[in-house]
Amino acid sequence: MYLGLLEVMWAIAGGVGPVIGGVFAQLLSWRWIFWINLPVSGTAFVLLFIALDVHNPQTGFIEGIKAIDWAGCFSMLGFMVMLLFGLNMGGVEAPWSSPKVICLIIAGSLLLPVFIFSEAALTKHPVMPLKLFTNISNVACLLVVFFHEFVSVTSYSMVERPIHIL
Amino acid sequence: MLLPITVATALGGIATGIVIYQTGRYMEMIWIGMALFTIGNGLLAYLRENSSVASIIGFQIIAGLGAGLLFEPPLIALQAMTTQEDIATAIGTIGFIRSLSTSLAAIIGGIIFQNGMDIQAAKVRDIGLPSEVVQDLSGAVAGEKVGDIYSKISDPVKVFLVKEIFVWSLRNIWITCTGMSFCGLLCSFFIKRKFLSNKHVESKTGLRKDSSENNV
Repeated sequence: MYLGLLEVMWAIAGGVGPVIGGVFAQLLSWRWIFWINLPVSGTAFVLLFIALDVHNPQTGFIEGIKAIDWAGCFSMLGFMVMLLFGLNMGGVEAPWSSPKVICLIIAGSLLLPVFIFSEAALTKHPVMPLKLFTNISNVACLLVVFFHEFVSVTSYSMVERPIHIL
Repeated sequence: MLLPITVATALGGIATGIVIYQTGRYMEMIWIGMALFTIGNGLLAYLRENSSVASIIGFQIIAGLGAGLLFEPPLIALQAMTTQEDIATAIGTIGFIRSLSTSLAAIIGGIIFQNGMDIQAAKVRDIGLPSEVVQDLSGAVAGEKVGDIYSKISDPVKVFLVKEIFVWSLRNIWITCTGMSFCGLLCSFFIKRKFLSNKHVESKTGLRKDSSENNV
């Protein structure tokens, strides 16, 4: 029930947001897309502050710091940043065959197995527990999310172009 | 002209929320969504130099509807298959995969377009355009210059040739998109259904409510 309500809210907000954004961009200025977030999140903050009653486990600071999956976070960060930098630079700022681009892409890619290893063996509280991936349905789910997001982003960023072109 | 695709996505999202809320049928939404998404992108790949604006909008609406259907159901499918204590990390992982995919997509989409323009660089030179226009049409910058390039070219024949080059580069993106969404469609058949009828949905949500109360 809660989950269902949450989804309906999410769907409505996600549906209305882009439309309002479009209207702002066309009628006012794009800055309003960011301004509008202030009152909305301010209201949410106040409501949460008053109404939300969540159990706080009172973890100590040092204990909390130790529990963070540092190896996982940093290897993932390194993987993403280096790979994306490499791909982004390639052919634009530096040619694809330049050492800069090749090293970034290879070093970045090498950090992925490091990340998987650290999730499997190094940490107690992994950011991405591998047991999630032992279930084929979950893997399929995450792949669906991946492909959906990939195509959405590419599609949305390119879909304006045919209108300009034709 | 992003409006058709965003509006279609929004409507698809709202419709999915309502349908799942009332029937609990999230699997069908994933299948239909992925199929529509694949078809929509396939149709966008079908665009040619002389396609009408109406067809672009129509294709956008199909792809957008499909995309809208797909935002929520995978989340539900994943939650249905994970235990209560793993749900937080499962949702986190979905968010993570989303942002990974977003950043990859933004870059790879750009690369495909840029490569398309680079491959056709010789063709661009053969059209016989002023050198500054040729510069605008090369590789990385071409995407941003698409809008104002025609004002610099007066000869309709040349305009048509430039259109042909642009559309070819874009088509590579749609083809990639179609392939990717088809992979998504294949993957979606491996998602297991956790419950089939309304009755089960209720028991599941009831359980979730109970345990969330326990957490509080």
